[in-house]
Amino acid sequence: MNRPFASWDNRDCERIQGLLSDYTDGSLSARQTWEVERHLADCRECAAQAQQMKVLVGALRSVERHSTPDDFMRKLHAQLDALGPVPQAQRSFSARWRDEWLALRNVLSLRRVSLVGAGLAAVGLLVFFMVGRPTSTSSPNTTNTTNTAAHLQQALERHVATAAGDPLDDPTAERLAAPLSLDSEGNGSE
Amino acid sequence: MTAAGSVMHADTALVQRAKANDRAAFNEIVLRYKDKVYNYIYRMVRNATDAEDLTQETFVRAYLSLHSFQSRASLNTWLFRIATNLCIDHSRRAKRTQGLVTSLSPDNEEEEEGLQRDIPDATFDPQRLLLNKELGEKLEKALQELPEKLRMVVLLYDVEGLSYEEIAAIAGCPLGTVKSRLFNARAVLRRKLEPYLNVML
Amino acid sequence: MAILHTQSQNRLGSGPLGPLSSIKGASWLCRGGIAPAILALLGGLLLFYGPATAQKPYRAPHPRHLKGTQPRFRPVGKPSSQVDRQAIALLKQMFHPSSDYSGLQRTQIGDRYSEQQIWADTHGRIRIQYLAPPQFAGDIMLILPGHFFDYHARAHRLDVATLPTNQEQNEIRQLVQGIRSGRLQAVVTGEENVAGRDCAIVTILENVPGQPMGIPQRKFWIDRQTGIVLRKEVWNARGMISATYMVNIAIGPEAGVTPQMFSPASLPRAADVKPLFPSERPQFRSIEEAQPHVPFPILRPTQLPEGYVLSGIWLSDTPNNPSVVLRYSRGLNYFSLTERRVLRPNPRARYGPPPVLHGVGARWLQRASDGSTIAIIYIGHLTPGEFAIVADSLQ
Repeated sequence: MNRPFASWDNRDCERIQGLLSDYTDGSLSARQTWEVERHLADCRECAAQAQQMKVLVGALRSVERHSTPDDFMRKLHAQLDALGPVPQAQRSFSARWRDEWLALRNVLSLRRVSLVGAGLAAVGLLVFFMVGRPTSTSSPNTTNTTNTAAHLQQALERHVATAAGDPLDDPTAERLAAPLSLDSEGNGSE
Repeated sequence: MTAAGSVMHADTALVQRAKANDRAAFNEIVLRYKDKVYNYIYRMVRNATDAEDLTQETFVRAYLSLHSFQSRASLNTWLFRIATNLCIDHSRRAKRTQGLVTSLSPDNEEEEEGLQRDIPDATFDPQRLLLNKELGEKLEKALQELPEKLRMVVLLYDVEGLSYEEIAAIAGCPLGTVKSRLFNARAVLRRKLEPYLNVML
Repeated sequence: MAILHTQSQNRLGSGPLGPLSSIKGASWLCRGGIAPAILALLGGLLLFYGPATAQKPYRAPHPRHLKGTQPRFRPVGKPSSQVDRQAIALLKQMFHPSSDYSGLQRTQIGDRYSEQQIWADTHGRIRIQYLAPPQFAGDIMLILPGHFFDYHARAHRLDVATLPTNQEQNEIRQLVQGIRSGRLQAVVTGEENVAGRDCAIVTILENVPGQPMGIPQRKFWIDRQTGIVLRKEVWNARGMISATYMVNIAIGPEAGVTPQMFSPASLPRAADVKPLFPSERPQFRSIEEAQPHVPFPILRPTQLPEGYVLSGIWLSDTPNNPSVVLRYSRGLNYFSLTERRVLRPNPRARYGPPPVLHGVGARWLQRASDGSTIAIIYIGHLTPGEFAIVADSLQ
């Protein structure tokens, strides 16, 4: 190709190279595509990069596909079975509570040899089992003092939990301190 | 209806049934997505045992939070987001053993600025070996070496074929960030694999 | 010292401190007994931690809200040039202990104490079994990366928390940023043998003008050989709040630590299991964002002790009576306000905060702008003076 007056410089290359990724995806505008292709026709370096990008993306799209091991479904269903039925919002309070208690017993009696398994499955199950479950033992019929106690307990326990997650803090101190100072407050009980 | 549209339509029906405690419907969802999820997690955590555990965990969590999943949303995105969060958790736990300073540095896992220059293997002889196999192996290795955030985007976009929007929703970052991470990831891979990519297709 | 709780401070901030700037000496940095700066180490910290781009710029308090006689803390924008390298190294060791251990631990607050048998591995997993006092006996805490279980034997209740997965990293990061910016300082303040182990004592101090020696916030007795903490103390401006220490300790294989002891499956069965935080953790970025989710106007302190910022807002997921928790923090210190509506307040109940705070908690009722009665629980490490600033400005 004879282009004695073609005038581009390294800045063009840099700009074009910045577009090569999108060019490979075919997501440039018509005008940008034309600009890129015009440059590639003249610039060996950029043309090589464009080709490499094409090969790369092609290779990425055709990497080996890994599959789950053979016993995957069986193991998964074993875990799901241990959870029991997922409670529906319409079911009665006591029926839900009974199911959760039963399911939880099963979960807590699971023994896993692998700690990764224990760490992920047992813990994950236990915690995520709690999604959307009623957390308070109080229903609208219980007295206000139970409500107060439950909320207080939860507030205190949250501090213990947060302290437990902080390597600079002291969860046993949080557990010891707060109930003492709050009980002795004798303040504003309902 | 587009291919993607019809997938969503079919998924929606399954999700409805699964939400209604239809275990067979949930089972079908798992069958449809388990390998995709596993394939993704496998390359994220780079360990088969952990990948299996995390894939299981993904579906257990999905099972438990089905009630909060909006049928209109994409099952794909939702499952991949659960999987991604699990992978991130996993890698943070692994980092705990790597030393205080390196694990604290916010820039440690990123090479989005100052991408290092990798010198391609000078002893490569293109004539000697079957290209595809070698490229495949080198590509896997290069993927493993990518920083987590870049690896995530290239796996989701190029390997799993998700869209920018889906990836933005999964990773919880703006669209522009997804695009720039993809660009950077591909740039790193291209540089590392340059000699193996110089072939006529 | 109170500062105006402006709109911006209703938003989450990671602290009032700006990014690290150049290193210059400042008069208040010259303290007796503290080693001079090691620029390489500081440079190392700079290299690792980069600019604190996530932090909001510090807003100086408005003069008309000056209270009390304490001088105002004004961060000079220059970090402390005295970084105790040994202290940092010991803290690093503390975060990554090199051995399992077990033993008898005691926690003391004033003249009250609890006693526990504890086992810990090198991954940061801890099992704590309570022996005393009687109301705690049989309780078991499991502290795992990202999860927390607390079994209460008497109540047959298991409290469960999923902690934010990067929480521990955030705490360490906050410490490091505090040290970099000069608000906090880690210093080796002594050596002591605890339960047969030679320990270095690392004190983390808060730098406050008018207090040339700084105010201790934490003290750690760190076993030089393994990084295990043999004793720790929590302090505030008034003095030591609590101490927790090993009475005896076994280290390594003789500690008898096994992976099974950290599994939740090893906990006794509980009749009542309570998640402490909603699993999805709806974190709101501001009180305004959280407000639509609760049926009462959220009370917030319009004045805060110096340096405190709102660092977390979440809802409890009790469907019948949602409560909102506001958490404020400044470096290592924090407090929380838990609020919920009370439908049938006791007619003899007292309204308003206690005039003087005793200890780490308080609760009271308060009327909200819409006439509803709100129950407030405060928990934290504020001094009585700081507590008064918060409680008195709650609206």
